[in-house]
Amino acid sequence: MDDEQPDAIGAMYQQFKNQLLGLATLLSGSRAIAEEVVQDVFATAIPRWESIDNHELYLKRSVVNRVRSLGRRASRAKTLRRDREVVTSEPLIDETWRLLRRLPARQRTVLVLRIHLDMADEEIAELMDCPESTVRSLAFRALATLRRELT
Amino acid sequence: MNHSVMSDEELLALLERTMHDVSECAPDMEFSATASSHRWVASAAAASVLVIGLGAAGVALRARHDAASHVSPVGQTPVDTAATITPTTGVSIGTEPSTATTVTSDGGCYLASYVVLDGDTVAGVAQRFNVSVEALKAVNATNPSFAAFPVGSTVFIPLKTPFACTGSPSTPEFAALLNRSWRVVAYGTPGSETPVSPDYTNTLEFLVDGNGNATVSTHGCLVETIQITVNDDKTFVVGARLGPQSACPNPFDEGQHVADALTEGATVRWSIGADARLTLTPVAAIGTVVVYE
Repeated sequence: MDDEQPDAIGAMYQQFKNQLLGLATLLSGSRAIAEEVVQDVFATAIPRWESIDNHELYLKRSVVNRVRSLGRRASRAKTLRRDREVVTSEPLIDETWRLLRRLPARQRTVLVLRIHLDMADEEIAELMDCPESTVRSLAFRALATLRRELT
Repeated sequence: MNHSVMSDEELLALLERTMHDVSECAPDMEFSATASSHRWVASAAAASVLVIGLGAAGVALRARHDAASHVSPVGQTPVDTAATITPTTGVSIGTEPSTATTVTSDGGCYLASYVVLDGDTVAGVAQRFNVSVEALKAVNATNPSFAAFPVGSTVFIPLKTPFACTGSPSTPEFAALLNRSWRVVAYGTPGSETPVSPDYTNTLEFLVDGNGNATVSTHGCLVETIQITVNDDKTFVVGARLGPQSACPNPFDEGQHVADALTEGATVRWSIGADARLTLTPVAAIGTVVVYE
């Protein structure tokens, strides 16, 4: 690691911290877990920083994979925690959030990347390592479920 | 929900706003302040439960769901937290009802203790027990666990109506009913119940909220909390719904039968058979029963 790298990593951390925290929060359902995930992702990335071609894509993909890994270990816990919870003062937002959390992980991931991070399907496909058609299909099914539940 | 069909634009706008609000942690969104990668995993074995005093029905009951999570009556003043937040004496595990109670110096129970679960928030717990956030914070002012609100910590829940917590449960069978979360396994007419798919997760719990009201809550595909009035003859009367009701698509249409049994105004007879299964039977209804284990 050369002398300029800590600055580069710090700048990257400041630039993407909030975005990655938002992504991890929306995927995990917990701000506390999100904070830990983002810290872990950066800690893991630092030793291999030079070998990473696209840092932004790497960090986002790492967050998605890290949350998914935690989710597998806690699949039963997630099942138990799919009840309604009060997050904001608006019932419709709470209800929408509850429904989002109930979506299958890959469907929710696509929606979060597409809507919250404003990523193109092509970028999402690369991040999730799947065909673009799969991204569109996942998004279509997720939106259809949400529309049905919210109507 | 009562909305007309959403346009794509409306749906996307709603999702964008929801994601923004959640990711930004709206002011009243209170996530746990402590992070640990073990939180999810540790909570996998945890589910909600309660230890309960049921003053209106003349019984003092306590129940627990598992060792990881419970609510139990404790002393009024949590000065000695080690003594008050771990009311293990007499707490039963399994279906044996407890006959021991925790009694404060003035003979009343004003607080319950609650073990924080994954995903719990201060506002969420306050809403669950129908108490204000301010009241919750006030009774936990000296509780060192409250500020961080970590999973597994014990916090105090104020009960607006103190309940008698002396003496033994007058209906130990009902204490057994409260001792666990019940999962739907069958429904139908008596003697010819239809088994329910094992992957159907709707469960039912009996509890008492911050006002001392007995409630029955369902979780899973059907989420709702309903006030009930417990009688001494192994029946309860279904009262008003507390808070919103929600349901998810259920390919087996099995959640509906839970709702059938819990129709407002209905009197429901409950019984626990020799096979340890709980059967709810609406009295003077068509005869559909719901069986839990």
